[in-house]
Amino acid sequence: MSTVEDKLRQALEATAGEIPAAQLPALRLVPRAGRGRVSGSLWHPATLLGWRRGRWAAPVAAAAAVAIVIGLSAAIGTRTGSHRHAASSMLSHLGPGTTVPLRSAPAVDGGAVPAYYVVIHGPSAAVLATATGTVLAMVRSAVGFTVVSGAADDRTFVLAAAAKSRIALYLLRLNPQAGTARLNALPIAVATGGSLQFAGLALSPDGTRLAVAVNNYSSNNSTYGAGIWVYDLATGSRREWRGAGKVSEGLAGGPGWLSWAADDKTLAFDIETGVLEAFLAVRLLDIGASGTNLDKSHVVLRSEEIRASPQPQLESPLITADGRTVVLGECQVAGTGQGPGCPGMSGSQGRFVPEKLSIDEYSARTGHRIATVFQRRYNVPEAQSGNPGPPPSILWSNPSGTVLIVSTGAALAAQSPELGILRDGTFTALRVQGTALTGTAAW
Amino acid sequence: MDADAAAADPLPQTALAGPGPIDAGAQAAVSELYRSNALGLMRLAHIMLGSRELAEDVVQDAFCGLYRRWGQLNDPAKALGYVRSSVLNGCRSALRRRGRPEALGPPPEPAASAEAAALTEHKRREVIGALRQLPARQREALVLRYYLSLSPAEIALVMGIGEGSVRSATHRGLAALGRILGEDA
Repeated sequence: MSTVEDKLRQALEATAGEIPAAQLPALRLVPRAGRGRVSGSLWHPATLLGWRRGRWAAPVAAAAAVAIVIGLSAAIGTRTGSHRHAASSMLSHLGPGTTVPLRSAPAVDGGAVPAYYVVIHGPSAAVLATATGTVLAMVRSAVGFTVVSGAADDRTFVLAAAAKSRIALYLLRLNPQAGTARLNALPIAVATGGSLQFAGLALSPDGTRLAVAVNNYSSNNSTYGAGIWVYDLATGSRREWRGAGKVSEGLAGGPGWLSWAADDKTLAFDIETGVLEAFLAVRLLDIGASGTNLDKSHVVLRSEEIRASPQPQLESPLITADGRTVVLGECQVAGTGQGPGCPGMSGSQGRFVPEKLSIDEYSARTGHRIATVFQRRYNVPEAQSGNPGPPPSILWSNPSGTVLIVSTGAALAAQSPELGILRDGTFTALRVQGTALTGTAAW
Repeated sequence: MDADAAAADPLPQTALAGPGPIDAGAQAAVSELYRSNALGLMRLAHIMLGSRELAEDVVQDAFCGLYRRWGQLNDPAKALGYVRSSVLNGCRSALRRRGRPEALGPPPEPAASAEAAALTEHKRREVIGALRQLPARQREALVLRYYLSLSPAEIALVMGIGEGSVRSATHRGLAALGRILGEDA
């Protein structure tokens, strides 16, 4: 026997010895997280859904889970007539995790607007009632949450927490009937650190997929490369797209500017391009199509092509559930004067005074502006003093974009952003408890 | 079923005898196979993946797959070969998802055997690290040969390749390992 063979055999034996015989787990198909037992036959295929201990699901489990989601989606969609998918049955294989009491929330607009939303608040995440702003439940992670995104069922949320060189992900499920909110760690961690920067996430409407945006910075040529990873939450598999430019992170530590249409295939995102990433392109990615090149995704609009001088700054684009409209915030600056410019502006644009804020709708197909649904003028003296405040943010949309939940941004009529429902040009403020919510809330 | 899932299910269509009833005998047979082989397979997966938890998952998946297909097996005597292939494919899928085996973790509990103890921890890591640099086919052939002590014919069956390819992969793998370790194979 050669020396190499000897060493190989010994190394393999030693490595194998890291799993002692005493640690051989029993062959069983029941959940082990929380060490709880599930009643019923250990061998029944249905129990496969519950086996995984919070890691990758078996293929059969994935298929079964998707089938359940489709069934419930159809039922709920028929009942409400709205873009409400059922994500509630996804990932039922996860263990019990942390369960806290949840008070129920009153319906808003007869159910046309989600009743629940989640706000990141320090190391905790608070579940609030849209109608009253009342805190209904609080959950906490050891490292603190950073962003949140919700599915369309008004019950399922994904929370991200930054831990060292990775983003840990958690699933928050609301069960008003049982009066509980349950937090589970997802078996997915997004590696970041070094040149790779986390830029945002968005849970698909049916709760089966999670889109994560990352940017890869090259210090050699001071440029960014954009990446979008879409995880299948049932299997843990990941599909990647890459392209030039930088995916916008969003402001105020928000979840980024990713949003899904109700088909669970069309993902809207935006790419910053040009020197200092001064331009912004809103794009649509069809994750059902072949290819991995983000640069080939459909361009809805480019900020540099908007006919205005100076050009507006675009913020928080969101695709409506029907996939026909992109709603976004705009900050328009005046052509003269000294001022800080719109939030986030830099360089020569800083000489402009922010003039007005608006929320506009564009055709997802042609990129043409359809309507301005909201508009306010800046408080010019305040803006000139160097504090333009945050821009408007679109936080939720009904299927057609006729009802929005928005943060107005700081404007003439308000010293701080207001959170409210925008319908037919009428803004109705929502009650808010606690600190500013811009970019840290999800419906 | 996605590509990974398909790859993890190695039972060739020609081996299927059509759907069959799953009975208590199948449960007993799969349980017995698990009792006698799961530890070795879990260790095999741990070597391939560098992760005890992933190894456990892969092996559990393999036995679940075997149970689901038990009624379709023409020859129950081939069950062990099937589950070995499933484990190997499961490892490949896991590696594809993750990109590469995890770095070796903290030093393990004291090695159980005198043979294992003969190799220092440093050298073990060096050898395993070198093994993980090899192309997948060579790595798998070496692990099946030098850990499970399978014959070339058995390895060929598990890997789904010809016996000649197994010999070639083993020979090349050993040579490459020797080069990485700075020794002659």
